[in-house]
Amino acid sequence: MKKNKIEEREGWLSRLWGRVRMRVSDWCYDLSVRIHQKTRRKKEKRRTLRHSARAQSRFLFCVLVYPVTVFIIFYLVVNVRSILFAFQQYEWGVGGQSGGFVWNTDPLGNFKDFLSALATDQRLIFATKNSLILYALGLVMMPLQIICSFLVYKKIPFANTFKVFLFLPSIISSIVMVIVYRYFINFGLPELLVHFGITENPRLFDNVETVFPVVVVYNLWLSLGTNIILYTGVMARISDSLIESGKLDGMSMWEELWYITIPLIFPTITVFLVTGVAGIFTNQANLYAFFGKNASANAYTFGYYLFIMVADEAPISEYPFASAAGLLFTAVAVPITLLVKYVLEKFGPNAEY
Amino acid sequence: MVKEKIYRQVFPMLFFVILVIYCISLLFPLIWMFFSSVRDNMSFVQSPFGWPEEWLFKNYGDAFQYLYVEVGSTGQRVYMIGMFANTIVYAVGCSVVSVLSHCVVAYAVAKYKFRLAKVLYTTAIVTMILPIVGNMPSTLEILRLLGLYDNIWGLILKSGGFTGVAFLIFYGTFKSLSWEYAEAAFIDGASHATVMFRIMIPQTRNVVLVLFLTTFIQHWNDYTTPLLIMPSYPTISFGLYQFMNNNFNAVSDSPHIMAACMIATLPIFLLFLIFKDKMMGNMSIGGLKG
Repeated sequence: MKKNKIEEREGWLSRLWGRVRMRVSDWCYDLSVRIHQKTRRKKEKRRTLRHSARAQSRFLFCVLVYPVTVFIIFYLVVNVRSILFAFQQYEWGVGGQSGGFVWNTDPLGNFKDFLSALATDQRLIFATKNSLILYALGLVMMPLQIICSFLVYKKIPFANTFKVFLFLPSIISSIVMVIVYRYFINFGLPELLVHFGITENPRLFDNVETVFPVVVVYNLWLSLGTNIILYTGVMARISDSLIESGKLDGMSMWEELWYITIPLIFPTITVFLVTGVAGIFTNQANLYAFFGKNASANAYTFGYYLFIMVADEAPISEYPFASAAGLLFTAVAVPITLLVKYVLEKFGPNAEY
Repeated sequence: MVKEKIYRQVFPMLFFVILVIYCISLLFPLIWMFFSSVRDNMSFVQSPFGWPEEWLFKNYGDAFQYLYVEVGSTGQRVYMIGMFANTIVYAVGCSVVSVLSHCVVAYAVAKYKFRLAKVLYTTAIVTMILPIVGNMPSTLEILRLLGLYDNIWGLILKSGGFTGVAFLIFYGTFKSLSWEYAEAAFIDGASHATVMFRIMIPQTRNVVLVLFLTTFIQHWNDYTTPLLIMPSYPTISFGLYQFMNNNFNAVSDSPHIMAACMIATLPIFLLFLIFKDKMMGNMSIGGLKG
């Protein structure tokens, strides 16, 4: 009897245990399904979010925030500050121990000072003449550059070797070339002249009459190579079929240059001509590399004049005057640039390839 | 007939001769620089074009050991090895930041439609055409205000803009690339950044490489920016300018300065020899071939 009772009790307990176990496992299964559903929903949500406008905006914000901030600070703010500078002057003992910038009592004072210097300061009188000479010589060199580029492009003998050599001025530091050129003029040239019976050292860098021509020769010498590489790069993009059809019509090499190549590379020529206008006011013709701050007045250019006003720990009291000069140059350069661009686009050859 | 002969044969020959003379004139200074760098000063002054009587390669070691630039108010000396370190940090840092920022902005403008895209594109064009002259004083003042003046990292930060030729080159390249790979990647769950860095930019690796190299060379050779903005961190080009204009070094004679010039030129020259086909083949102002 006792044995039967024990068996009944054990059977009841095991049934209870079985039920509890089943409930727990069901509950665990439900929980796992719920978790799975929830995470899946989250994943799907994330996936759709990636393609949503919000994700795109976030991405664009992350990508653009730094470059645009740099542009705002170092282009917009800098140029606005430059305009403000032009109407200010430096006053010692204001805004700090050493001094600060205050509004000029005569708002146009810096502009008047600069215009008056333009007419009376020998350095600026030479700078006007020299800057225009450099620009004009750049224009004169252009046809020579185009013809030499065309010959390299037409694969004359040793064309690839020429290309390598012509690339050298683009990769070698201007300061290295200036040093070698200066040593050549100071030490090498006198020795060469001895062979032609000239025993006296011409001292071209010390002579006020020759200093600017020597610098011009250096600049023209190096500019030829740089532009040839750019021209040949554009010429290489001209369609071969166009040239072949010209040849079938009996076109000579020079006719090909005049009627096909120049019209097709004209956008590049336009870029050089348009950006070259600003060069009148910014090109310092490596004068700082040659002479530091001590160039002869005869060799001055506008670019050099502006550069030495800020270079080599120049006094900040000069900043308002330099900014006014820059603003005046910009006021002249912008309309000329736009005019050159308009004229070239209106009257230049209009070809696409 | 004679006129046509001149036209067809004499002119090409004339320009060929001009090119030969011009190339020799470019090569000659480099060869002269090398020979002068291994001579002693006395023999150089006596005969500048003479053959080295004794090959003084120790001039290169001397240049590293003795040529220096004094910086700051304390007159701290920076030797050539320090200048090399500054040049590498400056050139690599500016090139990476500049190329990357131009690349990502050009990608966003070329491949996404958003309100700012047209503004950014127009800004890049306008700033290229409009010449702004004489804004260096205000640039220096802003840099001083931000604490970035005379700070190599400040100059690297400043180089990350988006205007200039590099933007237009990247823009043209991205415009010509198909968007289909990107769409397929989006379907597979790729994010915008993944598509940009792992699918689109790798397709423009040639352009990225050429622009990186040209920017690197430009910064390596730049002496005016370090001179104006980070005078306490002289680069190798800035150092050469100082050697030439301030002869306060113990060995700042012609052969040693020529040796320093060779040292500054060699890394760039080697880089050019390695990548010359890529650099010359892709260079054009109307755009780069991808």
